[in-house]
Amino acid sequence: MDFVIQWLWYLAAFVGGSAVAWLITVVSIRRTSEEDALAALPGAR
Amino acid sequence: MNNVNWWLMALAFVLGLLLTFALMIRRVKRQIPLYAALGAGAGVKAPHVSAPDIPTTKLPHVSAPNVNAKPRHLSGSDAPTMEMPLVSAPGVDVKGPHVSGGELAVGAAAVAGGAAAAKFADVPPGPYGVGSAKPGAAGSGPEGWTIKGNEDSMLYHTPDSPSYKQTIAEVWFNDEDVATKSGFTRWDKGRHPRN
Repeated sequence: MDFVIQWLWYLAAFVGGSAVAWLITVVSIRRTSEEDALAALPGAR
Repeated sequence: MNNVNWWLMALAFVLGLLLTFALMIRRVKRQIPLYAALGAGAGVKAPHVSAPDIPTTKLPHVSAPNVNAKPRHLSGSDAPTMEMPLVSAPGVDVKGPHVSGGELAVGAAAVAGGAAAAKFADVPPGPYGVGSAKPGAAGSGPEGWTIKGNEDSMLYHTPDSPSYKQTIAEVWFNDEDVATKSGFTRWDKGRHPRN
């Protein structure tokens, strides 16, 4: 039982790290329109 | 909670962080379908050119003085102010009260109004009015249209341009006249001062 509880804590830590990464990504990278995204691509032509 | 190894906890946290970053953020490369790059788009019909779409396609309202001044502001989704008249069958003359002379003059001034309407009946007007068309899903243009417009350089490429194949058309033109009137320059104009 003890082992399972430890395992759950590690799992929670993994999910927490993933949530932090997701938050950072969503906040720092904004959605743009498709046209803007294509125009901003390097070497688009 | 007492028996938890904190180093392993931190490792799990960092792993979750890195994996999520790796899955969410990556460098984007523009990818062109092979058949489009080979210029074999003729077999692939552009979806917006299909006949059932024509009655619902909206004509962009293009006023003639703006075409030469700021062509980039004339994208089709900006100001759709009128709709194509409902046609029951492809090839029906769409000339009518909705298509005024001004709109036709934008795209095909050299062509008579009625003839232009019949000529472009199966292709809805693109961002530069009648005679221009947005590329299809594969980047291909309407059948028989050969002139590619590059909105970044504002150049248009005819098939004899050396960079014709690698140019990704943002707009297709039916003929050079329409492209010139839309504010585009021929690809080799800079190389020949006399042009």
